[in-house]
Amino acid sequence: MSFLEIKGLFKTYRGAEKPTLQDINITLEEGEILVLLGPSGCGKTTLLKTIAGLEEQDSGEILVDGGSIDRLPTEKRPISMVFQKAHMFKNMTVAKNINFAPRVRGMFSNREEMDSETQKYIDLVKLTGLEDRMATQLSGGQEQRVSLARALIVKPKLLLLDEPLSALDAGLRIEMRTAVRDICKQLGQTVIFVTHDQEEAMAIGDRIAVMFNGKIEQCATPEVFFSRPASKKVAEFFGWKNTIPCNVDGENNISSAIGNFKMDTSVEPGERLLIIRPEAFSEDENGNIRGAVKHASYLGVRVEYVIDVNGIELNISSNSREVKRIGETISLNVDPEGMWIVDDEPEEEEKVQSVKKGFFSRRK
Amino acid sequence: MRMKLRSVIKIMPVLIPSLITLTFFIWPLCLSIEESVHSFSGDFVGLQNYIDAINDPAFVNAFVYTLRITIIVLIITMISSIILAVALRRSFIGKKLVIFLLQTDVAIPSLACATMMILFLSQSGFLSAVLNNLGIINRMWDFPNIFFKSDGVGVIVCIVWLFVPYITLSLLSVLHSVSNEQDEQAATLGVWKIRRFFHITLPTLKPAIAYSSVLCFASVFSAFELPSLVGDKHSLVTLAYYYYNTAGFTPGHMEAYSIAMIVTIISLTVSFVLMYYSLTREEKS
Amino acid sequence: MMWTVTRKLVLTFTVLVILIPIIPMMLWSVAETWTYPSLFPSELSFDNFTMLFDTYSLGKVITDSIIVSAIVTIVSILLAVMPAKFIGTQHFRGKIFVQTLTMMPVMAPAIIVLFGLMGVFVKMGIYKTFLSLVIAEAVFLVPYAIMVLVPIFKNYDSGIEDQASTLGINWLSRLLNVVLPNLKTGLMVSAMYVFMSSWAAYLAVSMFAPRTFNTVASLLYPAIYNGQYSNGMLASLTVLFFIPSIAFLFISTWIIGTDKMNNGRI
Repeated sequence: MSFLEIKGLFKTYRGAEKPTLQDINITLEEGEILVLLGPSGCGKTTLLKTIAGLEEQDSGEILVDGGSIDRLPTEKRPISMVFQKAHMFKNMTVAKNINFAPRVRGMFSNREEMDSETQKYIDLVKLTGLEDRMATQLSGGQEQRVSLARALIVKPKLLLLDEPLSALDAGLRIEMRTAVRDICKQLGQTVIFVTHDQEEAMAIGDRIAVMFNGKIEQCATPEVFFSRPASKKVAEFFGWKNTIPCNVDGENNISSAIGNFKMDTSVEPGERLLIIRPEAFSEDENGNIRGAVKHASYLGVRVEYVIDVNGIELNISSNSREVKRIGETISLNVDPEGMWIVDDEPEEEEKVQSVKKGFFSRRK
Repeated sequence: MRMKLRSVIKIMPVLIPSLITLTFFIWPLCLSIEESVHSFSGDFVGLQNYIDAINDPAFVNAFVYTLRITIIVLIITMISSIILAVALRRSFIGKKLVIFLLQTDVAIPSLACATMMILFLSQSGFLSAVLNNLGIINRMWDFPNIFFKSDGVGVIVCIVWLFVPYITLSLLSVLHSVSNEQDEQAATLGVWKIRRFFHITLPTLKPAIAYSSVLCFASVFSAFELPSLVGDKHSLVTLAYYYYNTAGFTPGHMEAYSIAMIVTIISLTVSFVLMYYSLTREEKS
Repeated sequence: MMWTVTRKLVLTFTVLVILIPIIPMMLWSVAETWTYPSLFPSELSFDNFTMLFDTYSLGKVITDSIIVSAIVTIVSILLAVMPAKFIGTQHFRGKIFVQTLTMMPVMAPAIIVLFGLMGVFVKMGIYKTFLSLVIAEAVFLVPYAIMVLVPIFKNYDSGIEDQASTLGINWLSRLLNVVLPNLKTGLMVSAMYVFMSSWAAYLAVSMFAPRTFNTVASLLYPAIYNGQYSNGMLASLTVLFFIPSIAFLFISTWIIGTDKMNNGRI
């Protein structure tokens, strides 16, 4: 039995046309960091809040360390949570913010234990020296560190982090994500981390669960998404920019408008989509893909092209120093490791969740 | 079902305090309504008390008097407050002092205002003395008497003095919370100031104006202290109170209830409608 | 240019209109003799205040006024906090209807309710007691307090309560250590407005206060109505009447600043 088990979770907000969570099934081992990744509105925060008890599921079960937590109110669940906005207890210092919860819960047996535990977590999040600073005098990064220490000191079985870094500037985000992973690994903490940033997900997670429209599309280790994405949506989310209609026969032969390839794939024969990473292409005078440059962007360390190959537009990322001009012919090879086959999916009409108007509200 | 029950349980401790107060509001209201449809001897008379009230010349006078004062105060107050709020919108030296003075005015209760105005604006008051010293008037009787007269000028002056700062501050907080960019954009497109006021500033203030007008209307229409202290004639509420206290154990006593009820119906209906509109607009914005 | 001049004129006029009427009253309160058409009292003293305290046991009246207003304020704020929080932070069907309904006692003329309350209190056996006075004032001041608190809760970030509950903190600890400290300033301002309204209340006191119980308002009203006091005594009683309001204003402005005092409609 896994440390965390979520089985068949469903939730639909009142008045919404579609469920916010559809048949969510997750398992997590102790000490593992799972990242929930997806675009805004896909349901990842709702899932986190349901685990925390701040929202109630319509059906399904959540078990932590073998015990169901569905009927428990939030404050009795063996979890703690860090929100996107670091809600500091403004009337308290850093130290008091951190030890407030265990203090009122009676988790310390004496003053010495409280002080030493508090100091331990202050040092862990690298806020040594700021113990007596008021919470209103902290920077964004410092607030999130306090938030993290505050959530860890109560020794939760499961730590939930809801996009805690998204309000920070770019440099600080990179610094903090390393810190978050290091701290959690040092403590052996089981974590679910929510983000919409693919790079952040790769940097932090042991496994990533990609969500779209309330469903988990794929749950795997980070490298799998760069070699074997489960669907077109997942592929596009992870930067697979080129989707080319193709035909797969029963013998791993792929034929498409840009050329024919042989690939070791277990898909059924038929019409599929060939997806290729922009970095999988390399310039080669004798390359078997030839096209005309439609657009070129020089980005210093690489050049990005849009080329036309037999009427198909391809996005290329080349690390050649020489920039081809528009209209010039370019020859390319492609690395088979950067190619994969997925099923074609019809475009889903994005329906915004609408909430029924109140009885007395004016209808438009 | 479990969810609905939990929602109801969650709401109860929150709504119980409101229900306690509403009970002590609705119960007496019902008792007053009950009294208003019974005669002094306890017989049910339907709307007879109301008919007697409407046919009472004193009621008609009081109604016209109250309505006139309310409308005049409403117009003067709202126009003055809008002008003042717009004038205070920009930063200038001394702005904080002016706002503090307005807040001081808000802090002054109506009874204090009555004393203040009597000592300042009566024929023997300070302003009369100033004009006398300046040679503009010869005797105190030459100064216009605005108090204890049937036109209610004294009442209007006092209420306007009390309400303008309160409503100005209310409108000003709305103006402060809204960015000036729309106005600046219109200015760069050559739109005149006065047109910008009517097409940009005023629409922004509409919900706040409605909200403030409700408070102003409800307060003035059902005012008691100022009309009784500095007016001459009875307003509706002072008339009701007068009948309640002085009619003693006579049938006229019941008219007190029906007059008070009429004031309540008018006041509550207008207030409810305008307040609902104002809050709906505020929620949407 | 024209607009600047107009604006300056409007503001100057406003300042004068607010300030000038206050001056004669302040002067009258310390005037021993002042005859028309002098612009200043010929003699100044505090005799008016002394006479008031001696003749009308004003010390007891002021104490009673403070006690009743303080109790009404505490009761009103305590009863108003939870409904105001609910209305200010939750979104539910019919919210505006509920909010408008809650505010109706503030809009209705007090007189109709006070008439009926007499019958209610007689039935309950508490007519003309301190309790009946507190209830009579609270009936109007609880909705008023709700009206004042709702905008404060609209600006209140309830995410901090979610944060506290995810750290395992129970509702009482959350209320005492998280919610109330966050709302301190707003609660203070609201309490100030409720206190001022209770302090200035006349009708409820005249109808329901025990016979030996007087507030400054219940002394001042007949003093103005009957003209039984000299101008000096009337002015000094009025000054005593509005000093608490002005004091509260100074204290809260000092604590939270003029801008924040004016933030949000009250």
